[in-house]
Amino acid sequence: MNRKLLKIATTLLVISTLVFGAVSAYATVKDSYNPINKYEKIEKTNDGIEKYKQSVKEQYNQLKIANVSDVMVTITFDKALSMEELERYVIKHNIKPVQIQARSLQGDGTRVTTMSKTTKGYKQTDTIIQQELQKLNLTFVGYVSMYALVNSCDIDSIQNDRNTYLLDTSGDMFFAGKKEIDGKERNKIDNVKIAKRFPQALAWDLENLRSK
Amino acid sequence: MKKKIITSILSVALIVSLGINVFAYTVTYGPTSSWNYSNYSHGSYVPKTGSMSTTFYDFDPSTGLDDANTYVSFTLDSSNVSSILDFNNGGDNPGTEADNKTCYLSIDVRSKRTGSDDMMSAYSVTSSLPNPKTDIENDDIFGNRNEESEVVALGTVQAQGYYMSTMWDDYRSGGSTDNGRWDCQFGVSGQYLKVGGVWIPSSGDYNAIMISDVNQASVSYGNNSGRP
Repeated sequence: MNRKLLKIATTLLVISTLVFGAVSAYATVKDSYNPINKYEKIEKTNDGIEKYKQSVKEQYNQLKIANVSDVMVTITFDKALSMEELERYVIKHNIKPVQIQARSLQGDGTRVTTMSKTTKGYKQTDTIIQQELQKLNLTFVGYVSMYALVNSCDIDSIQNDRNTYLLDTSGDMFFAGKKEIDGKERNKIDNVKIAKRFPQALAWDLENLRSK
Repeated sequence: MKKKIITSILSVALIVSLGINVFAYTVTYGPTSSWNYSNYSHGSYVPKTGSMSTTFYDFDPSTGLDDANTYVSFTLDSSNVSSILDFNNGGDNPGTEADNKTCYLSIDVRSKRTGSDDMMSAYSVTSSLPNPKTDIENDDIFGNRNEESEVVALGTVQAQGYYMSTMWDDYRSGGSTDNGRWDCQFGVSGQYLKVGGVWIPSSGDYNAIMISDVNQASVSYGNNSGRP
């Protein structure tokens, strides 16, 4: 009887240890970065956004030294890009697009955002977006931001491109303590919901500030 | 919930020429589901009126999968706006569940499967909501496609009309369980995770902290791709 109780107690202890360990590990990694919370804390002024930009750029060196692949990034463009400009930009910097954001306008000037996965290839995605805008009677302005995977060796060339406002690397699991060189390995914990880890682009706020 | 079926079916072969791409397809307008509430009993952030319409695109097989579109249109009134701005500020939010959490208006459109595979997979969302963050994802642990399309409005909403349009890849092939439906539901979301009954800040995932007790709109689809 006592032996049976001991077995049950041991089993329960092992299970609870495993569950606690898993939950702790999950919470430790999961809680390390919160893109909406981070975005909320940015002061939406020229100075506030510039300050945020500098703080992100200070992270680049760690990634470059580690020489990692497929860093999860959100790129905010300095100006809205045409499809041709976007294509050149992507090829030039060896970028793997994940999702692109387009800006268009209603007749009354209301801003509209199209957010599209690029699994069909970004050229066909552009065609689909143009069809959607035509259907909704919107005027296309251009591509204002994108989610993408980039290699750390390309970070400088992307950030120094005149079309880049900010290459935001904050969402990569590297900064949550995951140090695998291969980006797909490094970020796999969140692979199902990976889109949610990409930082919010700053395009909306830049448009607000520049229209003043 | 009031369901209005629009029966008008347009079978028009269109040639759309955009840049170098040429697609031939047939357009069929599917059912529309509307709601019209007399009060805010389904959530202070839920617009009293709105609708979800559907459109189906039957492509020439050589161009790939058929497509479908869900178009959610709604009007926020001043009472909705006041409530949503209150949620945006955190602190003592309407209700008790979301207190001390910064939350944003969110709209979910989910495809509900009948068989073992999700037959609709979202790939593009267009919205007039201010500063939207979108989430096209696979939330169904037994599914293998992006059956959920979600938009969270991080900007300041106003009392006016808004919309959310989602394009879906249509994987139906006439199978007996290929049919399903789309549900549209409003909520307020924040980047929190519920652990042991307690909401804690999370990374990556943002969840509906409060969600309407009913679907605002539902539209069923049949077994064959490119058609309602």
